[in-house]
Amino acid sequence: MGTRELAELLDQASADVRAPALAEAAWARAGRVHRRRRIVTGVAAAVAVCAVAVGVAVPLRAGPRPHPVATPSSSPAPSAASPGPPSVDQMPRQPGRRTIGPLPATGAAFRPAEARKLSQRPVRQAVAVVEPHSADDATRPEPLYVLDTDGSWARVDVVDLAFTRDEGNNTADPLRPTAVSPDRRLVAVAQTDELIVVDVTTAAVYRTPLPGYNEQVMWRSNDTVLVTRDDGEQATATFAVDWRARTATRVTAGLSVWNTVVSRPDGPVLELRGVIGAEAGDEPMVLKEWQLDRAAPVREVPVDGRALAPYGVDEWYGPAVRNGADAGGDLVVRAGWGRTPTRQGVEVVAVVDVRTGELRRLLDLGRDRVKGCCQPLDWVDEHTVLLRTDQEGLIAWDVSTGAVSVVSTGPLLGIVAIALH
Amino acid sequence: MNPTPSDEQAEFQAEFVAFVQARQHRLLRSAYLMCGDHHRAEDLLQDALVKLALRWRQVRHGEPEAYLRKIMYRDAVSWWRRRRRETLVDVVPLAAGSDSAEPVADRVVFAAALARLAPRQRAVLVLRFFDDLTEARTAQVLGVSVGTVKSQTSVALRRLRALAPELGELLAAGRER
Repeated sequence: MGTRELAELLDQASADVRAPALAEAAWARAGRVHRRRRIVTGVAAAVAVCAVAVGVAVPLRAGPRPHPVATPSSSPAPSAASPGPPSVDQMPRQPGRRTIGPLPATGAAFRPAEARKLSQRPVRQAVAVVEPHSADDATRPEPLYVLDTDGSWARVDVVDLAFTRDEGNNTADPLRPTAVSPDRRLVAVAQTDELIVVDVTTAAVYRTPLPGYNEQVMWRSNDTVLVTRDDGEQATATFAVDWRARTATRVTAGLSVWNTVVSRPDGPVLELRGVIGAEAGDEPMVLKEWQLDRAAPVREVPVDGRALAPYGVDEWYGPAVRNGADAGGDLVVRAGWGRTPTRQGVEVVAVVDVRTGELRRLLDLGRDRVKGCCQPLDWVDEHTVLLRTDQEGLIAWDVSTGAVSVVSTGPLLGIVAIALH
Repeated sequence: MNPTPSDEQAEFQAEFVAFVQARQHRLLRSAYLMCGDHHRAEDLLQDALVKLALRWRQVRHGEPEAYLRKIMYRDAVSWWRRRRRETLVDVVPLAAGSDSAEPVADRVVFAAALARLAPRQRAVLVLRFFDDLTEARTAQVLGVSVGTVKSQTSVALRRLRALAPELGELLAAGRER
């Protein structure tokens, strides 16, 4: 027998795949993306953005009755400390506006037309850091821009960053949404073979050697950055970097910054990981609490989605943020791929109760969005989370009432990290 | 008379549609072998086609199929990496040594074993033995060296044999020669 038998096995394994009809839809979708790019780069005024993906409805088997869907008001809600009873929110068609200074009123303004050099005048504190999207064929990323507390922008001219890459040569933008330190004075950026920390209040740059394909960063405290490195073959290694001492220590805990929740420095590190309803071999969806010097988690709670069924989250992606002072509250918000009574592969953002693992609330963003469209970036207050979405820009979602309001209108074309407090 | 921009655009669209229609079924099957999921496969191919359409003017006289494969396979590997690597456990043997008396179709056993491979190993096998690319072209698509393609092929076949001993004889065929 030759390699023909292996080819036949592959042929048989894919024999049930039916011929698609994707050509016209792909061309039309590309046209919309192209027009959107032109609009966004050319017009800073209000932008009407169409959906960029051509979603295909995925009928599910008949399931239980749909969970009652809340129809949130579009205005900011009164203060409340509780996430409320389990419920599902839909994006309102015309959400109200909310100003959160000094965040710009439009997504387009996150690519500042005017910015001083950081080296000429540093900032007081970083409210936001942005890496605008670069051209498809760019060999280097765009520079970082820092939004000061007075609403002015500074271009980070003290360091030249490169795209990061993994062991498989997949490149990525260097800025992560978790780049800003708790005191908002420092920005950490992973690079291949090193970690770079920029003190945006002095424009000083600190480099810590860290061999390997470093990609993810998260601040453990103002002194320590957790960095996760890709070792290939699905393996990762996480290091605690003391940026002042310029030393890196591999952590014993088997966590990955990909799934780690920003948590207060003196508490355990929280991790939200796993998938639901996956094939055998996948890890179930769990919340884990780690001490960095212990190999096993100190606490592990399954994520319980029963209260929201048949809505749910199948798989997480992107950053997760925890509420409360110093991120020590009871709620974690993360985006993911989810399901509704009629569709799967829907983009959702969900609230998880840290104590019980219960899914408390879910924002259904629909399916006509780009992959990885939506990210929680920070908490506005105890019960309102700031989200970045591909179509609306920045929105504030009150998880106690379901109210959604737009903070920055229109798409924000770049990677952004926000630190409001 | 010179063609107007709209004439040119219509011509590009017709070219693109013809190009995709001639290949989309085979490409979707490749994507499915990479993902093991019909919907993800369609998403993967659709996303790659959109990227191709956005650059059609530049790549139409070059090697658009190679460009498309490069996007699709690298996106697939990236997606799987991000999903799978967080599991932090190695491949779990699938029914190795099972004494079940019930015969299982080769294709089912093979599909299950294929799904348990690391993403790039799966990509190498699909590119080499389903898409019928040479080692050099496979290396170009994945952005790795020919040596890596050789070693990944070897490791992938070894793992497949371990995961699906029922297919030992068939998979022995795939040994590097």
